[in-house]
Amino acid sequence: MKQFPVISFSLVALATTLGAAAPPTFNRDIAPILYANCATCHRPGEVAPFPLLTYQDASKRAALISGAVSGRFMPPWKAEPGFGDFAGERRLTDAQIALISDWAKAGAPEGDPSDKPQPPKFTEGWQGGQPDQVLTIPVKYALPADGPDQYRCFVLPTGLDHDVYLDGTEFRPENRRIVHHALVFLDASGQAKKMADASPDGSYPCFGGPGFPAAGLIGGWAPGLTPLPHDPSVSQPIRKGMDVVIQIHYHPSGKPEQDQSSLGLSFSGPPTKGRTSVLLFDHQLDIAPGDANYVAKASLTLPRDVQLAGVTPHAHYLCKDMKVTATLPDGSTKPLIWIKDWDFNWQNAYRYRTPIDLPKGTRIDLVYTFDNSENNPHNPVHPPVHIHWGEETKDEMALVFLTVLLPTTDDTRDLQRDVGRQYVEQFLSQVRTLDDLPYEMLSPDAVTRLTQVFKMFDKNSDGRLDDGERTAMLAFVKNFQEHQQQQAKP
Amino acid sequence: MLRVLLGAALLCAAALAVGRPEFALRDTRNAVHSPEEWNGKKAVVVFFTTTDCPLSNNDIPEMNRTRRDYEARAVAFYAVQADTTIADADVLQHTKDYQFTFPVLFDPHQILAKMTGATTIPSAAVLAPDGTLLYLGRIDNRVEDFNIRRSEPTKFDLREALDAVLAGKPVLHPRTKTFGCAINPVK
Repeated sequence: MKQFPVISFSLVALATTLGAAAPPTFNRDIAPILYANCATCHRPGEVAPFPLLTYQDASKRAALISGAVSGRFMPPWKAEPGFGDFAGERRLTDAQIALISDWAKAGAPEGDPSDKPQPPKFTEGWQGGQPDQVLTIPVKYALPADGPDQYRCFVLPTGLDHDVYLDGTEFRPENRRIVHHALVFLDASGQAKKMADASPDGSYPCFGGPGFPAAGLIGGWAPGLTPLPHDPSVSQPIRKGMDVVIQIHYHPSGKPEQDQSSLGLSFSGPPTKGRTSVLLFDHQLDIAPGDANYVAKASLTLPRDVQLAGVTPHAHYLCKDMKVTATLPDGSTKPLIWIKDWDFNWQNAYRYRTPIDLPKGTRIDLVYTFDNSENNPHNPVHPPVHIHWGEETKDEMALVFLTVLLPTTDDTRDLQRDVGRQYVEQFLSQVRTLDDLPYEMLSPDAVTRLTQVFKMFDKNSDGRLDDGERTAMLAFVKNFQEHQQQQAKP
Repeated sequence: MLRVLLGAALLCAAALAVGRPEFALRDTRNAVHSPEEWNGKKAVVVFFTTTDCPLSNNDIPEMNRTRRDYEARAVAFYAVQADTTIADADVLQHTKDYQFTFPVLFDPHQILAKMTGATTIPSAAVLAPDGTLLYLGRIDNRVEDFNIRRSEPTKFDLREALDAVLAGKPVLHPRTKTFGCAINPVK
């Protein structure tokens, strides 16, 4: 009894010494990281292939988790820090990664049960509340056990007999083992329905895009992405008769699977602000087989002041590096996004924490690098072949969607018209034959107009423009557009 | 007692490096399998799998195709439930869902993992009928690392090993690097 305080003191000292070198434990150190950063997807019934909620779940995969976070493969977040400040960033700190790595190396100790935090609570069902209308894929889609990933477009008629305004959408994957990501388009052309009708299961294969000039991109989903809060100020119209088209990327699971996913639509009044997507792209891709460092570039000058709300870079399998930068009229530059290890499987729509003010005259530059060598494991073609612009798996793209905010919807129309003029000049300055036009990016009207102009200046009708013919055409178009602009002025 | 005997048999086999390993393992249909079945075979393939490893599940169709293509050439095929913490009922359900076309063995003491030295799920071992290890490694190169994934494999390492064995030639790459979930030793 006499010795008790001494023993007690030395135990405390011992515990303190051990504490300094003690390995991290699941309960005290690892569970909080997993709950905050991984459990959204890694929980029963969710999209990740295994849960990471219990000690048993995590400890048996300690080495795998450590490897995945150390290489920053997980959580999936491709944007480099310091190049755009994005909302909902899913990035572990270096200290968190070190903790996980030390924990795995120490044999994944469980630790004191009293340290364990409460598992997180998640909203079941629709994350953004009950939608006003739910559209569901009409029949279950059957996916084989294995083989390449599939990209499928499903046409969902809205059945609406009047125009509506959409202030939010939420995609709900049904079979989370196989749904990898989804994009939601509007079709005003009826082309999607035709393509789906021609297919026995009412859907059609579509890889790079929906296969028609979309009247809007109204939603998307990727693992870990929470739906945007409803925002009636930038609601989007769905005109009656338009179809909703969902493009789903399926990843086979190893056994035959089925899926019947849904889309929730929330309606509101007309928008009070302008929001639109400005496209920037280099469609003149000509990537030689074996070229491990092909650079695509595109530039655009903003014709008016905008607020940049988000950025969605897009390419296919060969792209490895993407950089989009703004150069302001005062010469200063703002990095908009940099992705160093682009992975088609982890594309994302990045939203800035605070929209970026970009004044009129700001130049946006896109610089993407592609690897068409045999050493690129993502290369879908063996041996590599010449790659051009297109929507198929074996084609490439180099584009970015810039989501911009403007004071009114009239401003978005004017912005798109002005940007359209820059496109036209760019296309025509590069065009040699009509095959050079980026058909996927053009409305049928634009194709008709550009074709007419082309034929008018192809004096010898050989289907090619020589330098003289092209210079004459460009001068004409520039003149015409300036004239139009004069007319448009009040 | 059984565990002691099996352990002893394994030690003997390892120490002497002669003679076939001795074991009797139950499959998901309650049939018991032992190396006696290897008589008359030219090679034995053992896949290390589990229910909840996506990389392993993605490989099951190729495992089934390999069996389809090689079984008639006197190759025996087994899968081993390599994570011993999964309930038997879950393993049974998984075997049905993923349509394994060959026996899935329970191996609570990890006899086959220890015998072959397998550390990863999924992986494949090729044995001679006398138990000699001829190949240990990946099935193919579809997934080599977190960010090295192909839509289709370009190298079929297990098939190459089997082709060599069946042709009476040495296996060119008897060990290949695996990527996947760990085989955690039984505590």
